[in-house]
Amino acid sequence: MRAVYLKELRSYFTTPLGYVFMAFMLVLFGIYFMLYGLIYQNADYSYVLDAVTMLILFALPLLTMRMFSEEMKNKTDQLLFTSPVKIWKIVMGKYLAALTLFTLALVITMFQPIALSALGGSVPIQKVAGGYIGFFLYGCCFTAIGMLISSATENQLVAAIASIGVFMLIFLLDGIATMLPSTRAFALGVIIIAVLIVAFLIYRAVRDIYVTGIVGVVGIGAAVLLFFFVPSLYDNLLVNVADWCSLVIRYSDFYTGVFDFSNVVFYVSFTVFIVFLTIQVIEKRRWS
Amino acid sequence: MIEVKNLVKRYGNHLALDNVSFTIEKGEVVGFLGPNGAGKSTTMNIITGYLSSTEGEVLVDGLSVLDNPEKAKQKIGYLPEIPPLYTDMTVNEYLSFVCDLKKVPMSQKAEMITRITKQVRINDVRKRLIRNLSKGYKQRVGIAQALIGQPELLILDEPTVGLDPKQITEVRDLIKNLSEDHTLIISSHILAEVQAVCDRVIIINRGRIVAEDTPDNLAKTAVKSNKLELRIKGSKNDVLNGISQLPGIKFAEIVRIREEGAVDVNVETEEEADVREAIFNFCSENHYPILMMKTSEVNLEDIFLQITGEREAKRA
Repeated sequence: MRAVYLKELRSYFTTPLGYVFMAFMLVLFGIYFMLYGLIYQNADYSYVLDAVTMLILFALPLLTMRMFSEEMKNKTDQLLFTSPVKIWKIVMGKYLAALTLFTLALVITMFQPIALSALGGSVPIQKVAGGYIGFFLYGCCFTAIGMLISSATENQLVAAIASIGVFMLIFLLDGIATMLPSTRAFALGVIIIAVLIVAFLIYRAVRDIYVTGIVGVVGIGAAVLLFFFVPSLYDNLLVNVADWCSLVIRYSDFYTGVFDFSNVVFYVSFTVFIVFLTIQVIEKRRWS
Repeated sequence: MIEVKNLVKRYGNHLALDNVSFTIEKGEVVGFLGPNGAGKSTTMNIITGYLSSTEGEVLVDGLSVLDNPEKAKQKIGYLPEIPPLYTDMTVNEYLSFVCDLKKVPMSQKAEMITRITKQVRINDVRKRLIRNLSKGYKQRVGIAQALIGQPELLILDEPTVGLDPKQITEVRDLIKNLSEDHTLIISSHILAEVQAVCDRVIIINRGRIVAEDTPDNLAKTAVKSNKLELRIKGSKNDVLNGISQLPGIKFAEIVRIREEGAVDVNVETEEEADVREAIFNFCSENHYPILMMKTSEVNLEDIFLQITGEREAKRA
């Protein structure tokens, strides 16, 4: 793990990618810091942490697009996966290297609130610290998603653009949910489609028509039974679900000064799950 | 050293390996021969644990690559078809990374890199970026990478492909040196290469092992009919007709005319029949001077084409 981690970290700095990423982050933070902190004379740095949430999603693919795509393209993955190192250690080494770079950029931006505070601004320290913790967790999640996408294609450009697409979708998810019809029947329809998709994925993975059938029938049956016996469950269901699993809404808690530990748990488990999926995608490739 | 049992690999509906089994003893040098797409690389990728087989298992020194991957992989040095090089590293950085990856203790690292770079003769480029090296050097860095960690078993997938003739000789010499203290598996579709270094040849075609023997034995058993090349002075038709009618001759044909007034004839004889004296007697009776007579040398190329061709003919 250490070998892969160090190699990855070094490659960020021997290629322009690491520098471009850091520059992008710093310029982004710099612009909003200038706007809120210097022009509007607002010492509440959490405004900056709020403003960068979406634009940062364009920078993260710079870190993640090459993680596995490049190795597959150059066939160097053959060295990694034939070496006596466990796959999860290779994945973790790479993930931690990307995360280190993200954290490094984040730490550098901390000079801005510190400067504000030192120059006599009344920075709400707890709120800003919470914002930073949230922003870090938010970055952990998206970095993991980018890594997952990179493990699925050997084309870096495809990985980058797909990552941006998926990031945008996740970012806009709760907005999209509010635009959809809020009737109970529509929610039921979406649930049934979701069950069918899950069943299809299970079929792809295990190739067992009975398991797939049982999952599908039980899933749809449960959804329909609930629809008739507990119909109130379907009121605003899509919006509630979207809000619950939204990475963005949970982050807003942090920079508005609410430190809810369940949000931390959510982000951490989400990240762990995506890293686990990445390991599975790589394991799966050996079998197919 | 290696036991491969009933390997089957399916890609969707395509059967890449169909029940491949073989064993390799310690110290043996085995050539893996086959046309492109026959399943050589797939087999090697499964042995090294890069791919998983659909069925069957691979044991390295009794350790299953699937159940005990770390220990089994530690015994194998692998040079894939495309050397897995990080082109933005220097040779030193790269080999040092491979040392870390293969868990070489810190104290032995420097010594090991020095020894291996000397052995594969890349000492003079150790500080250069891999990207800027020539293909021959890149290949040798690839071999160096496989040697790190002192694996007992080396698997080299087409080690000389894409090199110029001088580099090919160099890499071949290197392989010969390595074969002295390693168990080696080399894949190739170039037969001379395998002939030069291997104790044993496994010929694989369309995912099946079609022949397995020493290069010499293959040459003896696989070619059933003998071939003679003749150059005889005399008129074309008389010579051909006369020779065709000699007993023991299956087939005779005129290949070309190289010298004025003489014809080059290729003769295929029946099995175990020596017709050289009969041809001499026939020629001397009719006053056709024999300018040249030699038995065609059988090389692995013929055997290979014959074996793979026969199978395909049977299939068709």
